[in-house]
Amino acid sequence: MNISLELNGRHADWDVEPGEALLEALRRHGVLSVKRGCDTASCGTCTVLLDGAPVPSCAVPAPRADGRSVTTVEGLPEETARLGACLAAEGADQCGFCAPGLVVAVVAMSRELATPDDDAINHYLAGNLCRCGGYVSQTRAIRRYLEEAR
Amino acid sequence: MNEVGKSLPKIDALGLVRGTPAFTDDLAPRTSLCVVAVRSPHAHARILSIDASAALALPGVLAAFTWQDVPRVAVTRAGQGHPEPSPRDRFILDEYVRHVGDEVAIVAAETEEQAREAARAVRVEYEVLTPVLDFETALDNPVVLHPEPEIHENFPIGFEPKRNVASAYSMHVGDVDAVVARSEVVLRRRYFTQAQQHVALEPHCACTWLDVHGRLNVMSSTQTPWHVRRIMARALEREVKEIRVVKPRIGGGFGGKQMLHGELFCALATLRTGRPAKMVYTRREVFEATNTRHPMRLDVTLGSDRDGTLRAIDLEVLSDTGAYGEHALTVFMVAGAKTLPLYNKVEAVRFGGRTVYTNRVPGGAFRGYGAIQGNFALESALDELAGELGLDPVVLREKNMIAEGETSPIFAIMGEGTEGVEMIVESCKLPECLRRGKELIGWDAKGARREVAPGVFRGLGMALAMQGSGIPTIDMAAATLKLNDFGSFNLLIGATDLGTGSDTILAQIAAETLGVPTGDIIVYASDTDRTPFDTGAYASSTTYVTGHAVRTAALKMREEILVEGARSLGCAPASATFDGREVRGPEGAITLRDLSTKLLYNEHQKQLMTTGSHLCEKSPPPYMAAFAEVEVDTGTGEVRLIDYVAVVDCGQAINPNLALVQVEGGLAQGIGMALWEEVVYGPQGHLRTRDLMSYKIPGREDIPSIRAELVASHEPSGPYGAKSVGEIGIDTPPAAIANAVAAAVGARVRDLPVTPEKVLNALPG
Amino acid sequence: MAVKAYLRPKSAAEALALVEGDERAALIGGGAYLRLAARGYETAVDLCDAGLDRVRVEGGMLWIGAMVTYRRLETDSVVRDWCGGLLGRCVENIVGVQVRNIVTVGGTVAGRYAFANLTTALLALGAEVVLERGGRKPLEQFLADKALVRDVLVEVVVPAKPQRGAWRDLTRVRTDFAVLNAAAVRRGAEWRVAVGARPGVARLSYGAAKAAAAGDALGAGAAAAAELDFGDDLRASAAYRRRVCSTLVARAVEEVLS
Repeated sequence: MNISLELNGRHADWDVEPGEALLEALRRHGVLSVKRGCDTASCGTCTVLLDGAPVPSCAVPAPRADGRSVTTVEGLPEETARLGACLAAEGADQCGFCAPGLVVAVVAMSRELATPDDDAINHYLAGNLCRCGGYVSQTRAIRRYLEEAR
Repeated sequence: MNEVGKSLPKIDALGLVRGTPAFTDDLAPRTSLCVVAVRSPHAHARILSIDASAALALPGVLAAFTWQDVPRVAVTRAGQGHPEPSPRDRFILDEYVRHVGDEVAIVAAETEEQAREAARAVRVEYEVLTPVLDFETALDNPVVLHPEPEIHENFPIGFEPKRNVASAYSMHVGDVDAVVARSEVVLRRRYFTQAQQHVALEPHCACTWLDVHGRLNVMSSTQTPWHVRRIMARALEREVKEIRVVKPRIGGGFGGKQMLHGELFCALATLRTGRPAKMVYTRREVFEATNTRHPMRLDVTLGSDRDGTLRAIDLEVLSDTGAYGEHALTVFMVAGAKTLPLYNKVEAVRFGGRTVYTNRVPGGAFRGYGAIQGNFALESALDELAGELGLDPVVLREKNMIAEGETSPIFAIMGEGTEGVEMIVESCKLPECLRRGKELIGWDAKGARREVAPGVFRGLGMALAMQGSGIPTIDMAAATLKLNDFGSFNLLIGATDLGTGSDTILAQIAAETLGVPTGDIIVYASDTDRTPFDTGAYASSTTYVTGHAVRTAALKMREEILVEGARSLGCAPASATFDGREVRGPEGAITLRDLSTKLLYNEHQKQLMTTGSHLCEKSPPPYMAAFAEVEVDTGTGEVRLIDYVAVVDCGQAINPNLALVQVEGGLAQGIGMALWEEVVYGPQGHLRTRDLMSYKIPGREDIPSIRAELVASHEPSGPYGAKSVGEIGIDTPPAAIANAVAAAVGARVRDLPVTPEKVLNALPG
Repeated sequence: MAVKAYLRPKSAAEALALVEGDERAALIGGGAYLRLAARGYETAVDLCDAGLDRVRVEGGMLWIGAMVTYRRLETDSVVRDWCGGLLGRCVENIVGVQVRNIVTVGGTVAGRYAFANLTTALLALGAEVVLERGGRKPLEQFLADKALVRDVLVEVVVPAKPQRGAWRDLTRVRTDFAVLNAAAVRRGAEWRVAVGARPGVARLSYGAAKAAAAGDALGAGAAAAAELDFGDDLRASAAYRRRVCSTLVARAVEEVLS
């Protein structure tokens, strides 16, 4: 079936399977920043913005994206570069598999919450799992990013 | 030092954060066939008949394989040195299936949907056999998991398949029974550690294709490209020279990618059809059909004087390797080899036991690799002994722990699968680690326990740990440096960065040695055709072993640059110097930029290329003192981790930030094992924890505070004084947290994980 | 998912017409558990355009549309104001913001998921459900209905503001489903105490309500533990759940009393 969506600010017409997840459709159409981690909406790795709200793209049916906007890190180049630099400065970027999903979630958080403290950061990002680091260096990096953004 | 000791950003950081296609599934040819496995629904069964003809008739299906269609060569899937210390007890596909999820058949089709449809269409008739699910009953069980005649051990590892024994080992120093008999205090305790899943966020993935020369190319999320190449060649009855293995970026490994998984199945499809093929594991497949940490039963006996002088340690272990013996012996041995030397002053020490087969997900390599299991038992038992003696647990350790300039007979007796290597400990900052750790956690100020709300208590616990740095006389790595025009260098290494930043760390070592900025080093890694050999990323080896090779290559390169620079300046090499920027002679200088360009285009043209090679000769342990503060609710048994302090001696950290994140990440994984993570089976051997909804790894709210610090240390045998740091972080949490819970509420939990239910049941009174 | 058609009807009535008499059609509420729930269905009927995502106050009651997400329960000022934000609090730790942005009230209630915190809280609040065909009925009755009738859940109705409510749950890692959850709500002299994830679907404990009304928090805990049934699953044993039920219920009632 055909769907029309706004992908990272550009119009896209896609042919998708009715039973396909948005994650699969994105990767099939070359949006490879969106990674598949768990298949059960449990890890946050495939997070994208759907009409601005962070969602697990593995659990959103692709046809539901018809007529809506989808944003991935490809559509957030400035935020990605700045947060990426903060993560790198703290050594908090490890394997990088979860990083694009984390960036998307952090961008959503920075739009929703004015001045989150560490507890608020950890709560908002609780759905983004990381297995390489112990989270604390990520939190330091995210705090640095939010401070720089202000 | 200009480059070493600096927290430089990872060289691939921004590319990964941007989501640049870098992982196997991103890079696999778009025309790849999709490979899917038919998996066993039974824990133990014999395939009576199997028919893939209906699957092959479906649209898009190009190939199907059963055990009757593949070479029958016994192999191990453990990515270890040659010959492997694990039993060769597996075939690409077999007539028997030995755990739920074991491979029954392989299909390849144009699309994933078609391949899954085809897998469902393979008709299989099973004779369901009684499974062995309880590892304490596996030895000499009438049900034998491995009756096949072709399987074998490569050298004596105690392999007795007819008794369900994958490996056995024992050693002793002194007469343990006699020393225990005359000890003033004797403590005997039994501990259990559970199976744990790696949960690398990138599921296992492999793809294969034939290149223009007809060679089989393999791209895989592997930690050991060379071992994969060698084992694939054996399993497929091909020559090693016919195969190339490449590792792109990997989304975490932790040992879980030190075994072969999809590579052989993709290869079958590519060799049959000539088409590229790709296999991406579902998360459920990762749970059911890769590997877990080996569960263990550990019986500890301690003999001690009343003043806390340890006299004897006895550690008897039963390890569960599941359906196949991947890393069976070596993980088992590390449970003793990387714990017992901590307390080197005992008169007698004994270690031994068996690894047995059961119809469960195979055990395999997993960060800590036996040390975490042994550590939980030994460090819990020491705390229990401290309790009996009325001693501060820190004082008990201080009295007995190993120190700089000392040795342990165990270093020489126990290696990994073979004998070890004698070693004097040249760097051990445990006293500093303890002092700083006590200060950070407030050990003396806070006291044993405090009630913070009605029925809610806080308590402190601690544990020491040691690991190793590579496997002596086995781990070998090489590195090649190539000088480019305009002064940059290619660094070619076989080492396998799992996301840890080892590519960056090795570039820093090259840059430091050459005297150039790290940015002038272009790293290319992990390609069996195009980079020199490396045993792989395991056993905490990359910085210590490959780092040495890089330094050697760089020292050679400096020499060559000096010779060529002197030639260009018309002076003797002995009268010239090279500072990384220019070669300076008595009468003038030439920049590296100019020299390198002239060398390729203008005068005395030649390629400067040097290779360093390093064999690990000893395995200096990194050390850690760890302290946990927990809060225990006696109404529910809930344990909340308040704070975790870890102070580490890893020698000189090449990149302190990346070393600290290794520690933090290891701790988080160890904390997960201590409190929440558990592989659970149903009564028929079906996995009940097969997704991330039922198997819970810690999230960021579960670990609010980890405070890791490195102490100043220098290991004379390491590159720029470095030891390892990749595994040590994971070892302490199970013991330190169990000890803290016992300190807080008197509940001693001896089987992991420390769940609220077990705490509630263990509450005194 | 072997879905052959994906439809986005414009109203609940239209959705009902699509699924009625079609055993191979599945309603999609949130979609989070799509892969688990929708195997074998050929037609997906997504309610996202059916106008069911409204939150309103009418007749002193709170009306929550079936497609209102968990995240809305946390952030919507009207819902936050209801019973001290009990509905937001009971879902705020579920998995993560991403999942709470797609999981819906209707999907949870209609799915009768035993692990759902929300169902426990709604039961304690005395909520009713509104079905396109079946009309309005108490949630307790809806959960007890064994016969599966094809219908579309339109709204959940929460009665006039109670005086106080309290929430307790126990999880392994913070974002996991509960090992056990409990809610206690007092409206005037009337108490309702619900316990879920036992691991069966949430149920009311009348004994606990009675003890709570008498001001006996510990008695309420003991009554709930004695009255309700508990089972084993991979998260905990029945015996542990029964013990912890006393504690959680007593603490919830205590909080409301204090």
